[in-house]
Amino acid sequence: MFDYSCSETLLINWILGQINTHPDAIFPHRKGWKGHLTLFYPTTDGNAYFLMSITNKKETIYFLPVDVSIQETHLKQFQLEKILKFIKQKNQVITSHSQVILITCEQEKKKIEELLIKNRIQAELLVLYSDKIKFQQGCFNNEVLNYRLSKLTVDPDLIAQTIPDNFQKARNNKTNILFYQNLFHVLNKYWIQNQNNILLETVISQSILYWKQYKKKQQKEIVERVQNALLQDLSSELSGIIRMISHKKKSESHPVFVIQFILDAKDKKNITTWVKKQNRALGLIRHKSLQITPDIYSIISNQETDNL
Amino acid sequence: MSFFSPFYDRIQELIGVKQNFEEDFSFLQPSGNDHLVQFSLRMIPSEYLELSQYDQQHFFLLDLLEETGVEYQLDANGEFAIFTEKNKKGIKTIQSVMDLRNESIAVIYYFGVAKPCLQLNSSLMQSTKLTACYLNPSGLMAVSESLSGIRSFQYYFEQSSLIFKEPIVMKGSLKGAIVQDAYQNYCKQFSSWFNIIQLSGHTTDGSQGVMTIDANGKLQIDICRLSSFLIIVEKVFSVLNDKYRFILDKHINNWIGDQHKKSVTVCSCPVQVQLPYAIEFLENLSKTLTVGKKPLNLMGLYERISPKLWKIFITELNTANQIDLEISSQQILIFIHCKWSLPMLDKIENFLRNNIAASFESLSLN
Repeated sequence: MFDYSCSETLLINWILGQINTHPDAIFPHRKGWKGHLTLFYPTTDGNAYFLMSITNKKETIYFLPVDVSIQETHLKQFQLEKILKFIKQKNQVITSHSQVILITCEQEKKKIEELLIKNRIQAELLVLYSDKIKFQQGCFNNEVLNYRLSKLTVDPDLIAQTIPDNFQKARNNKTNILFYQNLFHVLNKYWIQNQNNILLETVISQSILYWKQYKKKQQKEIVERVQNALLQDLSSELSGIIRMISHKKKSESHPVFVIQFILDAKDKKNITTWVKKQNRALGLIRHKSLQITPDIYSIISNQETDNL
Repeated sequence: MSFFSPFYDRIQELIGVKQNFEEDFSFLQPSGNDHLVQFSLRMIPSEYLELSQYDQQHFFLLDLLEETGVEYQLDANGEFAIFTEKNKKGIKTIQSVMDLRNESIAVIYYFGVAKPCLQLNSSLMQSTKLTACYLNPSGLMAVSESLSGIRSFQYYFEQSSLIFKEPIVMKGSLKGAIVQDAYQNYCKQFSSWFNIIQLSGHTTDGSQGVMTIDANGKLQIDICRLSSFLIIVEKVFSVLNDKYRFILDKHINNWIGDQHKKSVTVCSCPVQVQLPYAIEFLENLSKTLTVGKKPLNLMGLYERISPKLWKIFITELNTANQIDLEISSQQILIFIHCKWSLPMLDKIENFLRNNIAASFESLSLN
């Protein structure tokens, strides 16, 4: 048996799934619970973490998803006082009762526990398993929430993808595929509306829900990554469908990329072509994960040599 | 005074019917005096929202004229719009009143010969500005309570062999004395597949007119008092209005970006649809919903995001409205991001009820 593993986005999506109208939700709308998603910058190095605040105006629970890639300096900032200070800076409301809960998955729980002990951090730790979710350390301060949590059944394969992945931290191809699926979805709207000359940055900003919370530098990095992917990796698949042209407002200004549609959306045949091309482009991203990168190849080669 | 009293007055004013005629049943005779009402979702483009109420309605009607060639004249108060069609001899063949008081639902009343009324209605429903409201089986049932009894009904359910290994088909129509019993039996025995798309019955006012209600939000009757007809119209309106209000309040994924607080707020959740019979070929269902072909006219992309879950992004080809779905074998989540996607939700609900079998979680949608 393998320990259950998942990304921080999936953990946030699980929390979001608990703020709804469903009768067995932990944070039901009928009790006035609402959720705010923000990016938390623990230090000035530009690394951002999801911070999900769930509040009913009397109490607030701050959820922070963590995995083993977290830096210890960052983890030390995941404390109630620091978070409240951050929240104050953002002009968000602070309630009289609040609690910080770290959330992780089964595979990462031991390492996170060790990190917490090592750094002497007293924190509640909630763990998502393949069939349950339970506190590894601590509990909710509100007993009603503990009761609702104990009644939950969990199937992580069915957690709704309410928010897209943190593209800044995209470590696997699934994040990439979902991002590009979203990006093409935004492009489809413009295409059907017969709009042309769309700024690439506009399309990206509409594909990422919390885009405005990224710092300028991060936004620029993401735009460059997508721009390179569209111009290089996906260019063969998207040729004849869209073209990207570089545009400068003034001769001295930084160039921006503009997307133009070549095919006419009114022609029904073009719809099939466009859908096929998009699927092929997504397939290309999907199959990239199957290719052996030089690093992995060298490990496999070494192992084979050892076995010999 | 009911919500439809001004509508009643406006129709009376247009057609020129005197109260006496209305009361002694001679108002409506079988030839050429048919009533038709169509409930439709009307979508005011977001760029019109900053205009005054009157201008919004006016521009909406101009857009409708551009698309269909049908020119409705807006009243001075901006609440109703009027259309009259005359033949070569100058005789009025269709008289129509469009009630624009509700921000989402337009109620269009036609009076005249049934065939041209239906033709005009059909051409209006081709427009991207108006989409026929979907009345699901429970909505139709709620309306049927206002009739003196069910006289006939039509049902339609057809699964595809591309999606199910052993597809089920249950479609047909029934009329006559057996209808009441058959209806009760079908409801009990085949609750998941018994999908009513049309029913008809007599009104309770003794006029002997037969009213027919369609799943696509259309009500027709030949002989009836206008006042009795509007009582049923009001009932349908209330069913639809409650449904759309509930969706707008609870299910529009209005992530509110707050620049000042630098956060996004979620105060809604996706529509959750339970499937009584597990879908066997999820990829084929995803393909059906994204291939861009008739009758759905939806294009998009699908991706398997976990062993059990498929994510589908779809765009409506005529209106460019968008919706996201997450499909697993026994559950479908529908993410609606703006009120302009309501017609798409109707389209998806219609498809699921006709071709998959689905029960929507909320009472308002059941």
